[in-house]
Amino acid sequence: MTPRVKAFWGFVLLLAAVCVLLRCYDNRVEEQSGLALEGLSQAQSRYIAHPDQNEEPVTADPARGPKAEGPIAKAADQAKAYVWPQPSQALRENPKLQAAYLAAKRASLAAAYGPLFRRLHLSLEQTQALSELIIQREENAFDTAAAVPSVFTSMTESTGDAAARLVINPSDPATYSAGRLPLDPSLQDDNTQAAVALLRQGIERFNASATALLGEANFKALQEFERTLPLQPHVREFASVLALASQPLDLAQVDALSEALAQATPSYRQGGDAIPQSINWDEASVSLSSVLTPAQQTVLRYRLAYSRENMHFFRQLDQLSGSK
Amino acid sequence: MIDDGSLLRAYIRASSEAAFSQLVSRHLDLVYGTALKRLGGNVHRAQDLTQRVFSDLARKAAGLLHRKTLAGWLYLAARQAAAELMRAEQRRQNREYQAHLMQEANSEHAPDWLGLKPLLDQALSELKDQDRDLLLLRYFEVRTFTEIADSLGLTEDAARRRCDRATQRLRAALAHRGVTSTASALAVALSNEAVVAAPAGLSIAITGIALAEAASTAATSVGATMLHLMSTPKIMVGVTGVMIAIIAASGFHHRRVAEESRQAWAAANSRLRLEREPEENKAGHFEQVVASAPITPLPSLSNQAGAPPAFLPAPPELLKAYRSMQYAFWNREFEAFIADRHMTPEQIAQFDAALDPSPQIEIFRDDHGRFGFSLVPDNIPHQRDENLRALLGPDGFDAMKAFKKYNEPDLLAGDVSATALLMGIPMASDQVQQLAELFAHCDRGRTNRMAGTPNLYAWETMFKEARAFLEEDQLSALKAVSLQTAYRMHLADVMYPKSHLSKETP
Repeated sequence: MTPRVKAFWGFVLLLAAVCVLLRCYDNRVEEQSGLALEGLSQAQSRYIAHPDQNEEPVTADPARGPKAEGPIAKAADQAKAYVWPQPSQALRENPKLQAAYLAAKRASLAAAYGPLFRRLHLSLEQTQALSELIIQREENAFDTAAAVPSVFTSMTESTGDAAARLVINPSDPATYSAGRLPLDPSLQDDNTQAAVALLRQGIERFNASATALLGEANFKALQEFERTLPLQPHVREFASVLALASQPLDLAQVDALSEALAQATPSYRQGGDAIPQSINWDEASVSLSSVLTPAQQTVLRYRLAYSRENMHFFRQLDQLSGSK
Repeated sequence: MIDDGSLLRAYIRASSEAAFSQLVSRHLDLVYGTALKRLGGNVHRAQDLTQRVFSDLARKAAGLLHRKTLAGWLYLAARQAAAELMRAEQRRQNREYQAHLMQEANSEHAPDWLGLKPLLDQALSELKDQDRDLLLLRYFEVRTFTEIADSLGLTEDAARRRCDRATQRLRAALAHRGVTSTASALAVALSNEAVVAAPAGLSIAITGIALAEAASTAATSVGATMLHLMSTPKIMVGVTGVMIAIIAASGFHHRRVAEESRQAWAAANSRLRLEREPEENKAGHFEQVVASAPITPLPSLSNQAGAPPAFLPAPPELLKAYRSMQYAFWNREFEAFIADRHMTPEQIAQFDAALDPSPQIEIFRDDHGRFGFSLVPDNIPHQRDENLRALLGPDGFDAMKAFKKYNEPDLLAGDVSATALLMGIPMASDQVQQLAELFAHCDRGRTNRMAGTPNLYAWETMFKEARAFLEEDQLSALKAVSLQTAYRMHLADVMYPKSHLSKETP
């Protein structure tokens, strides 16, 4: 091989190396651009919220974007085609996340059912046994639902009336519900029916065990208490703000606050579970004035005002939907 | 008779030992004789050199396929190899023979062919390949004109004439060096002196060793083939074309990536840079627009990208309700800040207006037929800051920023307090205050309330120090909140794997 041929092949190798380096650089640019776009999309999502969906974001309006063709349109489409991750889907598909969720749920149980335990004057053994039954019911519902995607989705993403029966709240494991069947009646496939049967069996087992443990009267008190559980985030929020303002609630006020909020909820008054989104805050504000001290009402005035304005806004939005 | 090129191809393609053996047998005397001559009659060194030449032939076979006869290549290879071994002695001998020629320059006696063997070799090497091949075949390998004609693809007469001309040229070359002879005498000298028979058995030994060496370096023939191909002009031209195409494609791709990245950013940013339409235009056409609003699946409900929502202007009543809600939201968020500064209702209204001068929303209909709303961003954070600084003054503005910074630890401490209260083990106000300070102390500075993601705290330190002012039962409330936080951190990591959240969990 002559020196010229060697030089030729050396040059070829050099060019190939340059091409490889250029390709690596392009890949890095694409990756970093993608990450940055994702970050930008997340930032935008904070400004574009749909509150009925537990603040899950929706996509921006692509019709307002620049009209473009070729690579420009492709890049713009890529930016728009971002599929928002769903908490329920992540929870259903990730075993480690499920373990963390159930651990948090178990740790929160003493707080969620604390008012009931006190009201019923249960012994330590009864409290522990009932806690274990509740945990078993929740985990049974969770595992059953996780095996059937449609059921899990129904239990975690239902809106409107179904929201009152949420068993699984991916955004807040501390939120408890009554553990009743939360299914969308439109789900009729075999897997759904099988899941419903399993869920029903779990609930029936729980009811039988809890009745045996507590007696009929206390079991009914348990069921009544669980109807108010969806409102507990509001109680926790008020208790938290008041504690920070050095105006803490006492235990009696906690019970009274829960009852006042429940009575301001039409679905509760009608015998069903309390639906947080349907609280009539005008009524609740009146009731709370007899529960809270003036100082506490002053602390909560902006929160109550926001809740009222929020209710009015969404009522108008609902009326708009009804008049379409 | 099969020509050398065919035997060589048989050896390369079929690894035919018989073919290579035939080649060795055919040219052994030539190579050995040449080596023996070049090495001054040293038999052992000549055998070694002969073996080396045929080993080279086995290794370089792929590059010699185009030759019909290998005599010339073997002759030169033997000569070159011998030259490498005898370089020093060669120089000395050359000097001696030059001196001898000077002395005999005018002699009319017949040349001493035995003494002139090196000079004859030199003259042979300077002939053209075709002439040298003819002479080597005719005199060194003692081929007949018929055999030469077969080897070179000529007629017998043509071979004879060419051989005569080659002899004449050799004679002329020798004459140029002062050696004069007739063509006949030269032919006789070549016949008598050039041919040296190789020792019996050398052919078999050389064939075996050469093939063993070639086989032991199996890749050598492949490499030789590759080298041959790489030296082929057509291949080189082709490779050059391919490289030009690749470079052009790389350059085009590079530019396309840069352009796509820029345009994707522009598209994403455009959502934040929208110019709002005049409000009166929206309100005036609202009823008609709502009536024809398309139904668009919501990603949050369909769990797919789906068709993009079609946004509509919000009706004035709804917009007014939204603004009331938004201002109430700001008041709720900053209620402690507002309370600390003892703001009047008018000042609160100014504060709200500075925070959000003109909230705007659009509405859309989802696949359930219901209407949702979307905020139209102002994209005026700098203007907001200017307004707030003008309203609150520099100190007040800094205080507001600091207030937001430490709000999250406060809320977490409040959450622990609420959890403890529901558990029936309420915390005193000073405990809540201490816990808030501890949360702030253990916050690693990653607070970002707007992101809605949990903060990072040094949880081990938190539990250790909290024992100093919390009861054992109250610590269970802290544990419950820490597990909820751990779950939320984990959820955020799963949903946004490229986020900046740390992997540390409580």
